Amino acid sequence: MKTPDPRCILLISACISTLAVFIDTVWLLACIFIFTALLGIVLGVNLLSLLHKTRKLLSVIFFIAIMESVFNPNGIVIIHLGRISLLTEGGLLKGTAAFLRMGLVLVSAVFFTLFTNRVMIQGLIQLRIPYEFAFMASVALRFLPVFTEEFQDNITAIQLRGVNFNKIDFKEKIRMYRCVLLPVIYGAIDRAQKLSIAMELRAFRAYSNRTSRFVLKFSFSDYLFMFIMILITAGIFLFDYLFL
Amino acid sequence: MKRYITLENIEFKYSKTDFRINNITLFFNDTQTSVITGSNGSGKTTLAKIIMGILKADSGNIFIQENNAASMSLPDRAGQIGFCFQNPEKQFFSLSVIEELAFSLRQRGCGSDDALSNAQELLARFSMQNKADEFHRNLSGGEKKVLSLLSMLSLDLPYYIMDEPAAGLDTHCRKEINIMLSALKNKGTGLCIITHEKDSFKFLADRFITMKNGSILNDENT
Amino acid sequence: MTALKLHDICFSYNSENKVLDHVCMELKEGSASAIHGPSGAGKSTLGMIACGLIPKIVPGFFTGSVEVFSTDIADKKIHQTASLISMVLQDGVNQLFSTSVIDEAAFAPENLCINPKEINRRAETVLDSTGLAAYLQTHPAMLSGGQQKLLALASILTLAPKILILDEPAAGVDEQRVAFLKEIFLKLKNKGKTLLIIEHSQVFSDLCDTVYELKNGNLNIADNA
Repeated sequence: MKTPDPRCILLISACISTLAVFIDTVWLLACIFIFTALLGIVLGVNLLSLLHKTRKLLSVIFFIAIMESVFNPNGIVIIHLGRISLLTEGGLLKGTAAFLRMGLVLVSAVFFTLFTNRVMIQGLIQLRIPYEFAFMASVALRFLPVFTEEFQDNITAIQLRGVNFNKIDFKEKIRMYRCVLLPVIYGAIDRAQKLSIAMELRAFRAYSNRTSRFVLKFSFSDYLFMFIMILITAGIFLFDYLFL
Repeated sequence: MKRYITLENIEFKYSKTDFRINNITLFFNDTQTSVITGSNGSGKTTLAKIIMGILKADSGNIFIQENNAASMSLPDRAGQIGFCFQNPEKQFFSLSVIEELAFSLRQRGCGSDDALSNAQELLARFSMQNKADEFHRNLSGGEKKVLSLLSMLSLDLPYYIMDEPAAGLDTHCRKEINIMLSALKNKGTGLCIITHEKDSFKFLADRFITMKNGSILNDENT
Repeated sequence: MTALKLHDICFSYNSENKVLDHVCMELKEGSASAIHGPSGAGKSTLGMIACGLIPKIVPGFFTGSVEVFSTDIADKKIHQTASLISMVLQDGVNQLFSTSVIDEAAFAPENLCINPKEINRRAETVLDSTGLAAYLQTHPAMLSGGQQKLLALASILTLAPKILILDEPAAGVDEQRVAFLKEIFLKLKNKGKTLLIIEHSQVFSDLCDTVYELKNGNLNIADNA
């Protein structure tokens, strides 16, 4: 299937995120979630890798369900310990809703991985976002993995000098974490300066606009896709307003 | 002479490439200097990282002295074996050259003032005294290498694994590093030097191990 | 016609050590020159002054004037003069910020508001001549050190500045690629570009009209040239 225009995906993400925020009914959220996941699969988004990366986040969401149940008990008690309710129907529903909401935002964010950075920037620029901002954001994204790697390297380097993070006292720990963080920040500033020089030397900002080696064009199917998506979103809101 | 590091049937495969370490069984003695050679991609560095626990072997056992390394964390192992990266940048985490060195000296038990003055002396030996306050990224390649070696050697550990310690050094620094390595050897420190230029460490080596495609090709005492 | 004129340049990073001491230099349009000298002599500094990085971005004590095609560049921004005079810095990887080789090469002509067809033509031609044509969609971080240096060069070549300063173009590049570089520089010279090559070994001196020697802050024409 032809990959849609990035602006088209931007609209879809906006629709889904809006629905995720404003819809409260759990079964409706679940339907939207299934729809979004299916849409992702059809578009060829790698949802499995998302699942892999966010495993830890899932447990946080289950934690929310338990917390809600304990401190804001609501509805039928499912599990209890003496008088304290551990899991209630209301808590479970709230937890599930929180889970689905975050899931929806994450999945719609992963839709952007369909495009390379450059295509995404072009989408933003053609939406009249100033190109300076778009490029700065993309440079930041480009170097995020570099900083993560530097961060991990620093931890390894400190451990190689025999420092055991688990066995030192709090004061020492703070000092060590400073050692881990500061060079990464310092390095980031240093790199930013060098990159801005490199960009200036290539005439970045020489004119108030710039051209691009490719231009995005909406196809008929993009228009149709966006139209259907807006209809569905409006439909769901109307349904929610009238019947729920 | 005692066994310091023992490897038993080590197997390892990178998840992203086809490269693998094939069933390596090997031991390193405590006061010996072993030189591991082999072409690029023969698995020298991978093997060293497995010993340190930076990479985790798929199967096999590692013993450091008598202890099974499986129960040792990276800092535990680092207390027994010093590891010098091939890429010196990976060794650094301080904002200045002098701090990088002083950290190791303090780690070894020097007082703060002593650490700073000792660090200055070390730098002077490599004509780097005027670089003391630089950020490591502003050093030349050779200077970085010297700093990474010094910062590890200052820990004064009983055993060292060094990945390409002479790469990118000029003649003067290479000579000074060689003097330091010889002194370590005479003191009874065990060394394992990983290099692709066999000849440059002939003067030091007790044993040559040659690797190829993730296996030990040859292992001979000199 | 004089392409670049440095007049009475003095510079020091701090108030103590003078890096450049009353340096004058004049490059004719279409000429190729090299600056030699020991490391730390201030060769790169001189290059950065010529293209305006010093004093506009890198701070220090600077006096003197720089004229590019008879216009003083002191009041101009670097991006305004970049299409006249630009520089390929020594460190390859720190000049790369795109997520693919073709985007990196296309960045400069995109800034010049050239039409898309011409941008692609320029980028592809230059990448072809620098031996990177097989890597169009590769992430620059996945290239080898030598390839990264070539890409840094390529992405300035697509800008097509009239004067090009090259800081240690051969450092970290293998012999086969150095031959590539020589070919490229010769072609540029024949096209009428003005080249200033900074190097500590004399790799490119045979294609240069003038070879300068920078020592103790003084710039002189080398005897053997």
